[in-house]
Amino acid sequence: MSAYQFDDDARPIFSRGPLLVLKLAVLLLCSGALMYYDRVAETQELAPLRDTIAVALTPVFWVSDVPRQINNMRTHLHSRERLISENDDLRHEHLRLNARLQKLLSLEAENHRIRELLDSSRQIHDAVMIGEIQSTSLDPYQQRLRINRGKQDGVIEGQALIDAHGILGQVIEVTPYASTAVLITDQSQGVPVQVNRNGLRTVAHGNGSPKLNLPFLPANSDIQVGDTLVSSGLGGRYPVGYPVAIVEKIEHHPGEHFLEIVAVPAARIPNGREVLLVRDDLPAPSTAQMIDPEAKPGRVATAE
Amino acid sequence: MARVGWLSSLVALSLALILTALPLPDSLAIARPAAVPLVVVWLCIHIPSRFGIVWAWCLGLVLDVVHSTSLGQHAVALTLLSYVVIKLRGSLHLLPAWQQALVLIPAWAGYQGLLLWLDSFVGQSIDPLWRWLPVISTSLCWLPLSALFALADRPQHHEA
Repeated sequence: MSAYQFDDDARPIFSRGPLLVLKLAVLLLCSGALMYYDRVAETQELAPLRDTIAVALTPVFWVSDVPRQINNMRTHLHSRERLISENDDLRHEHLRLNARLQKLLSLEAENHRIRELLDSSRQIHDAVMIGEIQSTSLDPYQQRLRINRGKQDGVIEGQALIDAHGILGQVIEVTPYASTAVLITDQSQGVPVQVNRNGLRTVAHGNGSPKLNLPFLPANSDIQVGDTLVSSGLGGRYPVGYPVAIVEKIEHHPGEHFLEIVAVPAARIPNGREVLLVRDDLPAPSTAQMIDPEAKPGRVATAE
Repeated sequence: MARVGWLSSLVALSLALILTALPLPDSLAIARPAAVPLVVVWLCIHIPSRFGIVWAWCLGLVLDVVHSTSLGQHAVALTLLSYVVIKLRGSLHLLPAWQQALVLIPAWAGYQGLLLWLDSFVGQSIDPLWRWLPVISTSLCWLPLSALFALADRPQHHEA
């Protein structure tokens, strides 16, 4: 016997039957309509409802992120020596990069002059914003990241996500203060790429594992192990020229028309805390602004 | 005898949501128990007059946002689950907790199966065998949940 007593009005179960069935029917109809408008019709009319729920859930996400924050703090406080050494390394790298930027300034000016001569208005840089990874894939079958930048910061759906090494994925859902991105290794994703060495175009598909597949290259294609694949910009979703993957294995089975190619993503998925959100439809600041010492994290800077 | 309090229900639902949103390593995440449905079913059995399928539907929408699935997907599964449980409540509340845990296994399997089926509509073709792991973990969590609720709603003053 259960240890709990029940409300008196809850006892006549059967008299509540028809009302319950009616409620069920209405709720199922509502759910069906929501699913249709959300995924099949892909309208934006449900965005306010999703945003409201997401904002209400902010404390839940905040609390569930506490163990990771504590772990991060513990890791960071673990070794003072390591931090000092890391700081030194970063300072040296900063100096090296600054030196390269100085060189880049003259190259940019030269490039600008040449482009003006060609009457080209194409941008050299894309606008990027730094975001922080809040959590990675709640569902192990979906390769997703949650980032602490949302509509308020100017994030839009479809915006590309990169790290220091290459393309990570794209934003698929934006709420006012956070957004969700799907990684290029997710099985629903395909990135238009080209081989950096010879410009050969194809599509790199995610398959749910940490690798990518290139399924549509004929057996006589000029592709080698070690080739770098960069985004080709076809489809307009990912900006042009960012590294996507490096070819790891090429197999040709006799009798098959296509090669079986496996590539390793260039981005370190998801090995860091910071990511860059790229937009190539915004006016980008010049390289001179990029080395501005007053620059704050999170503000729009430029990527090479 | 104890009455299920609003406070303990609210705390249980909040904890269930936090457990759902808690980032876990992949090896653990595949067996993450369905915490929110677990609490919803418990409340449907014990306070059906105050907690019914409308609440279950609302929580389903919340789960859809947490999991970034299409709105209505978890809502359908959770509404149907709570409907079945409310219908079976007459028999379920007479059983001790360990028998309830056994009887509810098909309900968790149905919930998981429905989500898997709805997932296939949005193109998530995954190894279905692993998707059934939460059925086991959720069933195993039923006894601790019953014990926790019993502890939380224990009367403060015993009658003479």
